[in-house]
Amino acid sequence: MAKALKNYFVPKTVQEACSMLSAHRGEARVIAGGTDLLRQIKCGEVLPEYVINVAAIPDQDYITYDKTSGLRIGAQATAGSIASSPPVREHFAVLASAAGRLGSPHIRRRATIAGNLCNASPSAELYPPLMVLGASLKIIRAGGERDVAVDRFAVAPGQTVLQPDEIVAEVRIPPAPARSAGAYLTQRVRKGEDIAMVSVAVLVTMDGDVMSDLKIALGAVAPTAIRAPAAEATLRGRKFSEDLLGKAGQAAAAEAQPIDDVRASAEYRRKMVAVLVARAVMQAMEQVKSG
Amino acid sequence: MGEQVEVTLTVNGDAHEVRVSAGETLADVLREKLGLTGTKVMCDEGECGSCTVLVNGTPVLSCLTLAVECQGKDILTVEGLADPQTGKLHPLQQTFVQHSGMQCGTCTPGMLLTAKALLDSNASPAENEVREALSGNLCRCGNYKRIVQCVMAAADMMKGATRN
Amino acid sequence: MSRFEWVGKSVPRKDALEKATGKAQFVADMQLPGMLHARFLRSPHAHARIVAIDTSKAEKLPGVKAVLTYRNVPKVHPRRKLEYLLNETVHCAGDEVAAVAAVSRQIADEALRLIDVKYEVLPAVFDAEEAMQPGAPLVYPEYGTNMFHGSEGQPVLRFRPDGWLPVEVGDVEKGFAEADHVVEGTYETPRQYPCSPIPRSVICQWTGDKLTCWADTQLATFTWQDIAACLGVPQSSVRLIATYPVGGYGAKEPDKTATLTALLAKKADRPVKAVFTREEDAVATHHRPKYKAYEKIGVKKDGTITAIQHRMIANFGKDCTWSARILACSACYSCGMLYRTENSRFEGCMAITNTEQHGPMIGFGDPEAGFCVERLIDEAAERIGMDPVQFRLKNCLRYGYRATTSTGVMGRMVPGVKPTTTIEWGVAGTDADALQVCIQKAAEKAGWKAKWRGWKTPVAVNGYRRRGIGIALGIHSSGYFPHAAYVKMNQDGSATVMSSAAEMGQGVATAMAEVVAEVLGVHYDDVSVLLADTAATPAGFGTVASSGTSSAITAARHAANNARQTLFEIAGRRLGVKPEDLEARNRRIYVREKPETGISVAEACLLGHQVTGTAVNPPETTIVDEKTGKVIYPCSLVASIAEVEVDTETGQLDVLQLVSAHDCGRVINPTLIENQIDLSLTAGNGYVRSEKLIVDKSTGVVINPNLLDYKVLTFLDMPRGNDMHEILVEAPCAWGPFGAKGMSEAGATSQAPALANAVYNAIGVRIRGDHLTPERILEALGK
Repeated sequence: MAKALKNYFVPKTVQEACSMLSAHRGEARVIAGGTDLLRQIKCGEVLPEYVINVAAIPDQDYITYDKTSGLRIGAQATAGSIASSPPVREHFAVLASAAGRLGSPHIRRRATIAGNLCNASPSAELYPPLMVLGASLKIIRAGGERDVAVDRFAVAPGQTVLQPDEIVAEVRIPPAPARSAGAYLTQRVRKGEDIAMVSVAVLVTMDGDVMSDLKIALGAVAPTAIRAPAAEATLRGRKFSEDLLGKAGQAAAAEAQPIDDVRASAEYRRKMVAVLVARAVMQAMEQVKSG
Repeated sequence: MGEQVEVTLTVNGDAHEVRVSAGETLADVLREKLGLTGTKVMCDEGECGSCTVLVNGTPVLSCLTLAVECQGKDILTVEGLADPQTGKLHPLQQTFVQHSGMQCGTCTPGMLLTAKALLDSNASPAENEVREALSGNLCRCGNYKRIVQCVMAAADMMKGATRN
Repeated sequence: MSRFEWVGKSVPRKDALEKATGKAQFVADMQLPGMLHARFLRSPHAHARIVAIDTSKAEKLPGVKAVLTYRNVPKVHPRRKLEYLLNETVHCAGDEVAAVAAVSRQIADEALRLIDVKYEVLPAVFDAEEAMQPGAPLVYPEYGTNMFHGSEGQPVLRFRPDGWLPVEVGDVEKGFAEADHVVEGTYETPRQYPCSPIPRSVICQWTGDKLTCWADTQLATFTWQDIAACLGVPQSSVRLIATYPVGGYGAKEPDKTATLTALLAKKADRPVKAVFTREEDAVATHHRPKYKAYEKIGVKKDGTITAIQHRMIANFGKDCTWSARILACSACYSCGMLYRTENSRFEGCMAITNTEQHGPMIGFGDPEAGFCVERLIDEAAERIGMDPVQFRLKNCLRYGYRATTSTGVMGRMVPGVKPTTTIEWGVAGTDADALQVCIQKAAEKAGWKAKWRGWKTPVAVNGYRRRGIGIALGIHSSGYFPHAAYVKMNQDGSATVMSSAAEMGQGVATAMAEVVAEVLGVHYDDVSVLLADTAATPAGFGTVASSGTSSAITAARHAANNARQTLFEIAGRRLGVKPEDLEARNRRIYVREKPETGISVAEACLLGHQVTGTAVNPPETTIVDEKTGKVIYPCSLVASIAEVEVDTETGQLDVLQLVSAHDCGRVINPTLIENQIDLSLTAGNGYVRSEKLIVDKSTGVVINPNLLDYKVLTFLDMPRGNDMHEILVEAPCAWGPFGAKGMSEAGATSQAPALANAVYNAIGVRIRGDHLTPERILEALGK
């Protein structure tokens, strides 16, 4: 039950939300879709005294695309709208795919991109694709703003670099490189709603037969989503071979820092990293070739 | 207990002024303050879909929605699904009754409302689309096959009604 | 014209409209004026003695109206269990330590935080085999052992002094000596949480010294009698109403919660409602017991089973409302009857541990035992190189084979009669031959001949994906228990049937009305069903063990016959004919040979002023096979085939097709039966594919008591409609109404092993452990 909440604010602008956060520094939480926060309140994991509902702030759920500047996603765009957005599906399919696997249809209608990032669960679906796409976050506070790369945003489970008076306003993704494609794969127990035991996002850029660039990110196998630089290096600038793919998978598995928990053992997670990285790279590469 | 707030909720066409605390969920207010216990709560944490209601036409998990968020919004619960004028059951209710689309009945209200939103936006869903749209609604009685049949039958019935 | 007017028809459910319009009121939905809310303080420790408990601060909290601890509740054993209502020593994490009633749940919760408890933490044991070791911590030191062997309240006559329950026939050693091959295996099955959609709920209200209790219970009679016994009041002072104990699956039995709520209501002198949270429901109701089975089978090259031996160890948890009956069910059905052999030995035991109590869940001992036995049978068929379908056809239960019931296995206690400790074997009826038909029909529908390519040969291999097919049989009771019913005719010719059966969703009210309408010759809509209200409805065993049709509706049929007899006597007098010359149909009673001569049922009712019919089921020993002269003991049977695809790199298991052929006796309502089959298939799939209840090995605490991590299968995890086949096989049985039988649970028995055997066909490695999760499959593959 969430009845310990003392008060509930509905700011009309992002600036107003920042002022409220500033006034109740540390005691307030921002709520948008509420899919994570309300569950946490019910489980007693967090007990904020104040809740600031930003859902009523207008025009925060935009998704716009421009060939030169890339994709801009408003903080309150939902996973569902991202998954079905034509520009996202066309240019950043890896993100659309991950957004389409987040929770259930009910959750996807409510869960926002900023909420998923701020909640910073190790298995948060949107981190790996945003990491391989080189996304950054526009963060606003009363009287200022800053940009933070998505790889530097989460620092630990449930913890980000966001200050108590700051709010995420927008996610920006640069245009995808030419001749590139991504893939997102997860391992989970159920096909319906489920939390990933392991998730993998890759972005492969090809130059002729050579994988000129590689980006690989892993979810649910470390305190935060992580990049797998050694695995990337294994493949970068090389031609594809089964053997190489296996090595990249192994390298990624070595880079993962999984734990045993209620959902899977560390050992299984590590094995799945190797399998899914190899499959995702393969899938992305074939996509580039066919596209 | 936190401050009480007055909110106006339009539920099944009727406006209700309710005093709620900031943390009260829509599910609790519907069930305990408005006596609309057709909305069932199975998991109370957004995993099962049984508490689904429509807010401005969109399926929403009422256990993960604060009542204060629904100020001024239109809420449809299972009690309001039949035609308010004639009392005639919604085609989904008709097919669920006719073909036993329920066993224990806990998931039924959430299934009906989620399926209504689907049929409102997609008049002829394929079986896979129905399964996908309902995949956030658990049926512990395992009645999935029958529920899909009922939703497809309701879609047919609604199309027939439109044609006539 | 069909012989039947209603039997065999898929009429809409009696409760469909209520459930589709949100008007069906479950206990958790009810509010009474002045009602308080109960909350329970639960032990964080698996085994601890309460050294001190101070409730004074909680009692002083404004809004708190009653607080209970072990010190101010009667020292009685609820449902005749080992534990007391509230205990000085808690026996599992989640055990009730105190109960509070307050004006709101929030205040009650706050009060729980104000209760000061000092625990002396005691050594605890969680694993069954560890609990059986000498020197293991005793869960109940006063009981003297962790080997459950019955209690004063729940005697089990046939336990050996060493705590094992034996069932032995023939000479097993001789049988093994005659075998060409002896196959042995050790198998495990998982703990499972029934996960009723609505957590346990009870409301109690006192009016003077009379208690009304609304409870979600499948066992209205037992719960009612237990409340009265625990409170020390006559049963006439307690009225229990169980309108919608939704989603039973065996879970709905509030045992001590109902009594504690009644005590809170008494103390506070106000109505009290107790509704568990999902987490409480997961840790403080009951679980399907985990089994470990040491199995051995002897086979001849021609496929004859020469001997079979089962040694099963069940984790009893801290207690059970059903004594050793679940184990006895395993012994009787899956281990004792499903396969024919002259030489068979079962030994089972239940080790008491500091984990949540075990209890019924769909299949009641048969999914547990069947998951072990049916994997062993598959291994035996493979050893002699025989098609697993043929091996089962050759050896499966048939008419005339020895049969008993779990009561027979436990030993019978009949008041006034010397207890029976030897098993008096009866026979399976002619309906048992339906099993062969089930096997054949399932194999045909699944395309077995085309798909089965021999042992060690998957159905198909596509890179790292391998497809496999597997079969398993299932069996369970078709419970035939003492049950009574009343049929009350109204003067307009309509009828109300009263029974203590519970409508949990299975459709018992609907099928009961169909049968009563059939007997009385009235319309289905003319029949109302009043269930599980102890102020009105007669005694009955409850709605468990697939007994709704075979017990409750059987009683209703006899009661309807009884009412019809009276109506025919009235009509006969009016028409000047003998009652036996009359028939009833279309709301008319008419002369069989002269259908135009008759009167309406309504007229007969009016003439009779108040016509009623009552009946109690005839004792099971009166149902005798004509040919052998032996008692026919009831069971229901199933053959299931699963086709799966395994990703050999991730262990991912996709279920492509499920075919399940069920022995239904006679079909009363095909739609309801198909729905019940789908329930058993889905629950049987979840049992091994996704529902993993995790008990921490060092603390005994359940670490995933929520639906995020206790994973119930979704729409997308079960095969699409065209790939789920429910086959209804009719072979009328001797005990049920019109030959119908309880059939709902057997399907849960065959699912897990059908999947396991299909996985084996796909990957070539046997999984003898408890789950078929991706992780376990990959582990089996040695990757």
